[in-house]
Amino acid sequence: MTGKRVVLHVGTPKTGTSYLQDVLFNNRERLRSHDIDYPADRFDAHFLAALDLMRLPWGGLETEAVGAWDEVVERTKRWHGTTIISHEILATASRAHVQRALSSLGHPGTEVHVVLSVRDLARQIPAEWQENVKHRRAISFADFIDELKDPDRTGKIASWFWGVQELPAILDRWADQLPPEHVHLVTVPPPGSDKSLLWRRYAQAFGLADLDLDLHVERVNPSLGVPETALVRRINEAVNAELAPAHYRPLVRELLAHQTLSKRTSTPRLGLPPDVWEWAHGISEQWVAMLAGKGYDVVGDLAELVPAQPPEAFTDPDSPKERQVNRAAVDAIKALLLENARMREHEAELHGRIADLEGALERSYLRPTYRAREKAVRKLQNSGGGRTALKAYRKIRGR
Amino acid sequence: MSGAGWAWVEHLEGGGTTRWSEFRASGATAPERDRVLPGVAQMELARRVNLLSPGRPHPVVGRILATGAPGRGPQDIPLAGAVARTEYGPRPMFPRAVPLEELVRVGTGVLAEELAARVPLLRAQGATASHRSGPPGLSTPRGPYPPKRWWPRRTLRLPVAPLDALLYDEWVARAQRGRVRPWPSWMKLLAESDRLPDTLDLPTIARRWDQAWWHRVELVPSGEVARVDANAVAVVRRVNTLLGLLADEEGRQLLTATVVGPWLGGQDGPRLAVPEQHRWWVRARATRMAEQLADAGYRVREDLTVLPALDESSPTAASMEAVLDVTIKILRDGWEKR
Repeated sequence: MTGKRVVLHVGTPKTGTSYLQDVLFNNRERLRSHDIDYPADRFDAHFLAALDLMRLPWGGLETEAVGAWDEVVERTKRWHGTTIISHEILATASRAHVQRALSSLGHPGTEVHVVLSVRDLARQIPAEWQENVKHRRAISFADFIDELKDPDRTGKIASWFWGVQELPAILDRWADQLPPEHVHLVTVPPPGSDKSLLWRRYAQAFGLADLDLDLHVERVNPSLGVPETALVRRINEAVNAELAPAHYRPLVRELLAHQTLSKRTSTPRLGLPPDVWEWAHGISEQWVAMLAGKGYDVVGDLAELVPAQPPEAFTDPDSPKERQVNRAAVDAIKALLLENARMREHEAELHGRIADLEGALERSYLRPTYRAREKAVRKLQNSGGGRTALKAYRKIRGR
Repeated sequence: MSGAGWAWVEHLEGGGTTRWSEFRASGATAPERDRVLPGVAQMELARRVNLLSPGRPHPVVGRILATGAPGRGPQDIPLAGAVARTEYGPRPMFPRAVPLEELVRVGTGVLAEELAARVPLLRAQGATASHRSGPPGLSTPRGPYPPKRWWPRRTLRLPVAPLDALLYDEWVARAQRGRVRPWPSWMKLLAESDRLPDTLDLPTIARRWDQAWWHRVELVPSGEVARVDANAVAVVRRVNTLLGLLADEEGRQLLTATVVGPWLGGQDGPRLAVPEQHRWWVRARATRMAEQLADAGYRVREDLTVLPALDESSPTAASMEAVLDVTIKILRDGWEKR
């Protein structure tokens, strides 16, 4: 790639974006040697930039986002080649936010490309519900779907979901001022496809196909099955009033959901009930028809946005098999016990270190010079003149 | 079709107050501009701001029309009658149907942006955030608290007031400092977790002070303290949440000390009562607190039975209409006019 340009990856969530962002972050140096900058000093830098751009409070995290968008823009302006900015929540930006983003990046003077990665609604709806559950919500799957189907979309769940998932509307906002060949749609391959296919599509859209990049990442955002999601929802109902967000994230979202329950892969997977599947199928067909005539660069196949076939069986996460939930709960208890044991061992180790430090401190107190100084201070404190002298001494020593 | 919409924008920019339904009937049109028509919430808010001084253009109207709504919720709701319904996106809406909450959302977003823009000037003027500003708290201990070893005054006067009033004061203080849940949701959280804020744990505060043998505690009446208008607090709470994104900690403290706090201190009005479903919990905690304080044998200059005497007549949540009125008044007149 040559010349100055900005590639803005604006969504959508649940399309392998965390993986892409981790690869970009881990390969920053290698990318720079190919004139591509991923301007981030921490893996979530562009998340903070998106919060700043969209004036979006996020459970207290927003205080870390002050000026984050401008920082990314500054780095973009200083870079001579291609800059990649990527975060999926950018999909929900309003027109005013998009306008600010494009102007700040120097559009139309600077060549701006928008990438939107997209997946069919039949997979996105359950995935978004699960994401809501992993963010402390206790809403049932049925109520979640009812909110999405409400034509007024006044609820926070519906306005967020359609804000980040309604593809024609997202493109109306983000692509309105760009030539269609600068708008790239990356479709997520259907289930059962070669696992490397999505990366190859991303690499093509971002111009990374010929680069030798390290594709191994540590951070993953795996999905949960039906009983596991139902369990986390019940846990939310039980702990929401008492567990602070700072503890919820490492204990429930990371330890239980990501590290423990996601390993239970033989349980039923989330899907849509047949009537909702039909509804999603109809919307998807409409979207594909609208997008097909726009002249966007499609990496993959727009037909993949239409759910392929109705599910053979639907397992309702609002009425899961209790035996399966119980098994998941036992795994959760085991994980929490092991974590508790690890913390106890760590605590014992810290107590040992404190005892060692106290011993060392005690020994230093017992040294004759320390005792002589202590005696002198005590004596000085007993008289007015002594206290004045001590005060003057401490002032001189800057204490 | 949006020619009529742009004509209404022009009308609003000139200080106009005509409702969209009447304006549309007049058949006025204007050339389309090189951007998308502002959202219906922005336009209706601009009209309501103009109502305070009809016919006089105000610069804030332009900023309202150009600003996206902050936070979560619908974006860019199209103006019905000016924008055609598409098969996707939010449905166009008539201004009268826009929820008041949406108007407040847009308005507090503009207020937060304007406040954040003041921070560099405040810094240049050498403003400091060292002094406490805003309304005084009912529960603030009078005396040296936390205890200082060599402090000459040895009596801590601990004001006693109904626990719901103390809780309200604590909530107001938190709203001034930054992010806090709405009052009903904050009360729910406290009741469900059966925890009072540390600052209202009077038995612990008293015990900590009393432990030093040369100190003593007196429980005194809280006296009459002006009540802070719950609707004004609702605006500050929303603005402060957004300021978390727009200004650093020091900048936010500066704004609280020099702009928002002094303004809030002048906003007398009705406070909020504890929602009915949580009153039994507040009463139980207050009764327990009174018993603990009585058993500890402190000098009591106030009847401790005031602690569980809760207000049951005040509203339990802010009125969205009143919150919008406060928002519009600040947009038009600024924070300095009370």
